[in-house]
Amino acid sequence: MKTTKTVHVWNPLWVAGLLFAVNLLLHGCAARQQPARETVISKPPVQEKTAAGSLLASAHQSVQSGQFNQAEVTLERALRVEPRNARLWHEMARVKYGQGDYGQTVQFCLKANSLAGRDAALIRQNWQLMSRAYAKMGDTDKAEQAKMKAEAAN
Amino acid sequence: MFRKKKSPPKKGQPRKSKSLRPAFTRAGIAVLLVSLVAFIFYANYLDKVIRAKFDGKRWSIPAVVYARPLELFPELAFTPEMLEAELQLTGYRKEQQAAAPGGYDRKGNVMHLVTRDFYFTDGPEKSAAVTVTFAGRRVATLSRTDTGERLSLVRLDPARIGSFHPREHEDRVLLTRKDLPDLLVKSLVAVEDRHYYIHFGVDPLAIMRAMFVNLRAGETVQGGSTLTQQLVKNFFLNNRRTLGRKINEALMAVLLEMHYTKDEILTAYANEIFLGQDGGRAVHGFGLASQFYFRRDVKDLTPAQVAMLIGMIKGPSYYDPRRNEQRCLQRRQVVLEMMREAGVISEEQFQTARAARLESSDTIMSGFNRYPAFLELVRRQLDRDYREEDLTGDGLKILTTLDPQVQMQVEKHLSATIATLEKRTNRKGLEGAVVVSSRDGGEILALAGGRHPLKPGFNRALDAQRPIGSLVKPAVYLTALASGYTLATPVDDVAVTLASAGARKWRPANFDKQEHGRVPMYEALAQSYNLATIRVGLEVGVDKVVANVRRLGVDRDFSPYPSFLLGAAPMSPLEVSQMFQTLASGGFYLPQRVIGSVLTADNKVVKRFGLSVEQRFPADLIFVLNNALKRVVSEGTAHSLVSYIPDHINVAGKTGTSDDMRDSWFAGFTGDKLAVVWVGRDDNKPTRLTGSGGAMVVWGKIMQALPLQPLELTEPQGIEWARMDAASLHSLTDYFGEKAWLPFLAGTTPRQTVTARQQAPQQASPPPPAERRRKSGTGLWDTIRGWFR
Repeated sequence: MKTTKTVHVWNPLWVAGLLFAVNLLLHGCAARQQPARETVISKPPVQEKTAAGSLLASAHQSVQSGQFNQAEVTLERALRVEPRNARLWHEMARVKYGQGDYGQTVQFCLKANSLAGRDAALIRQNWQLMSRAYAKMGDTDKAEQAKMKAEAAN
Repeated sequence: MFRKKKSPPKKGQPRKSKSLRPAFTRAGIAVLLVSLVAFIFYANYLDKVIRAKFDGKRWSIPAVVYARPLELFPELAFTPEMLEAELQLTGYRKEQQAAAPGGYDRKGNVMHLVTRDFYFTDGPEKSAAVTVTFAGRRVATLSRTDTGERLSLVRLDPARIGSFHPREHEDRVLLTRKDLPDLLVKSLVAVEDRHYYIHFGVDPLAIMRAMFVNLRAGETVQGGSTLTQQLVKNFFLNNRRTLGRKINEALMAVLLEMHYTKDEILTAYANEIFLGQDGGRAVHGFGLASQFYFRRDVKDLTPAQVAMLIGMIKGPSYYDPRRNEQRCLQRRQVVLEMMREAGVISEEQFQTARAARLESSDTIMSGFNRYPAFLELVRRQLDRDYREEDLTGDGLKILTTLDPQVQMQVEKHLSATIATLEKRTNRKGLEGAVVVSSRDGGEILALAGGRHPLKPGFNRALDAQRPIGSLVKPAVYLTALASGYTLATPVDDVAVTLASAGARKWRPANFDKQEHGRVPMYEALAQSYNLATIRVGLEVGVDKVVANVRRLGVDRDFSPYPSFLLGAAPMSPLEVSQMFQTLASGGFYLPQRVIGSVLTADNKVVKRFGLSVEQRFPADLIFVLNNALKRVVSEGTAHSLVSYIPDHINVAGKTGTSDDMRDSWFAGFTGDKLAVVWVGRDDNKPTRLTGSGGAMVVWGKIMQALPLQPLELTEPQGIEWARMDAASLHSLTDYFGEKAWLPFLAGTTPRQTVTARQQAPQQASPPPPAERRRKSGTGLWDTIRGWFR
């Protein structure tokens, strides 16, 4: 397990906090009036020092060494910790691709997209992967459509 | 011989004196021969019996069922009390200072624990000494106790929650010869059977000695049974001390020794010997006994503890440390002396052990087969993949999804709330069932099949088929939304008469027997109006609604009668749960799971029940529907849920009441959990409870006791928000109420409403957005006022 020590002054959290404060001043009421409303902003890329992050890192390693089943179990653990993290669902899709289960690859990508919110990069990756999965399944039409959606995602 | 018998005896009489001897001898030989043959047959029979028993026992290692492992990480909503409960269930022991695996200590908000080795699906998790600190009902930090190094994640060994064994009410912690510590083996031989390693099954010397002692005492004070004989006796669990029994036992003991090695017999003995009673469960074997009495593994037992267990062999109930403490202590001291005499322990060890208190942990809430309803579901899922013999024969490890924290709350609040409801309605005989699952994983976290969790019997969560009432309405409105309706579409909640072939005319009514006129569709759902629902359902087609119920995951045939629209079709709580699972996960069908994996005794994965998803409904459609289901709680029939669950959790759900209030249902989900509750009577008589008066109260009480994530509905692309004036069904630009905002599928926003927002569709928070508010409000004033809300 890797541990990273970051005690920078420009810690992303500080920056986010500052931006939030400015935002509050400018759009105070809107921000305050919707506290319970659903937030669509996808979670930031998983930090390695978090529980899900360390599991994701370990799953990555498994994928790289071709141990997809191992990676799958690890990702399921990560998803139990952060079930709404779109990136984890995307990783699951990659594992399914590696296992040769292209139908599930598409499904996990769709699930990842349904949680991706504004993360255009992730949405693009999902469509790209779906395009490849459809191609593997011999569905060139859908592969092409997915490719176009990938290009449109930004 | 035949001829001789026939010949008259007189004939031989003259020769009597002469031939008497040979005849006598011959008869004697014959008798001897016959009895020898009989004996051989009998011995052969006994041999078969005892070998079948022994082999059966030896190999019949039950499949052990485990709960989900607890994963601790910083920020996890968890309290020290919850962790202690979890550790108790998992068989940890509380110590002054946690030192050995399976021990923990707690000083306020700081807990130290030493986890135990466990082999998971993804590999072994080594024992680790961990320090956990808590703050504000959350895990604050995790670190290694020795080095202080911070940890991001710690996985505990899971609690054993049951086992499948041919003989119910029994359990084992099965030990191999290697698992038996020397101390135990030597002490056992020293105390119970000194000549174990040299005798052939019976020990004549010991028997003679015992007889001598017993004769002198005038009663049976000492037994001369060898370990082998005791094992045989335990196999057949018969305490009659008849001579015939004894001889049988002795014979079988000899036969056993002929077939098996001393080590095999000793191991069987260590696993078989009866050492007490835990409620309805017999405690067999040292493995289970050391867990039961000391919460330790056998290898971690001290000499004093070994002595206590061995002392108890003589009479587990007579020397029960919890009931007959003094007697047990005296017996232990006697055993310790014998251990010292035999040189098993040193003088020093003896003194220490003798001085030790008779420590036996309190009667504990043991996890073994404590959750029969959940185990039943596990068994059924396994039955689809395994044969009964495999389940009972191979020592499989079954890793399940049960979350003991959730299960404990479910059991507690289901029975307590039902008792309260009985008092309130002044009616006895209420029953209930609960299914809780994880929202996005579809894992069954807890299950109750009735109000008495330990009482086996009718499992209502799985087997009660009851009309689901208004719980079917989300499927009706889902179908409507997919057919072009919007949440703002006006629908008529006015009386309707349905003619059905050959039957009387059906005139459905609302619960309050009123008509509500023209209402927007979301309101019809939130207020659970029957008339509006019937009209909408008939318009879109009952067959389509039925098809969607199937697509939601209840894969059965239902007749498309209009009454289906009001939930006349019976379903089990588990089926309802699967249906709502698809809604809760945003339109993705997840086969609900109770088992993660099945491992063999040597930790090979033989079966995985992995996560799988299948999009059954478009995300935007479900998003719109779920928003309406939130209104059921925020302003509709489940409004009183707020007395249990704070507003900001944003529960989405639906109440359900069947005809004459025979069934009370509630299904709802938060950010992380979906729960379905049914309350009703086994005899199907009216309960006097509505969905919100019965099942929803149980739901609220359970969820209230658990850490909850607020429900966040991720907005998919293409959703448009528009302000609605509920009263006039027209948009109003100056209407501020949050309730005026509704989501619409792209392109379906009614023309007379004003689309609130034109930004990127994935925009974080739904309207009303700031700039519009400023336009209509007083800008700065609004801003400042907002801070104080």
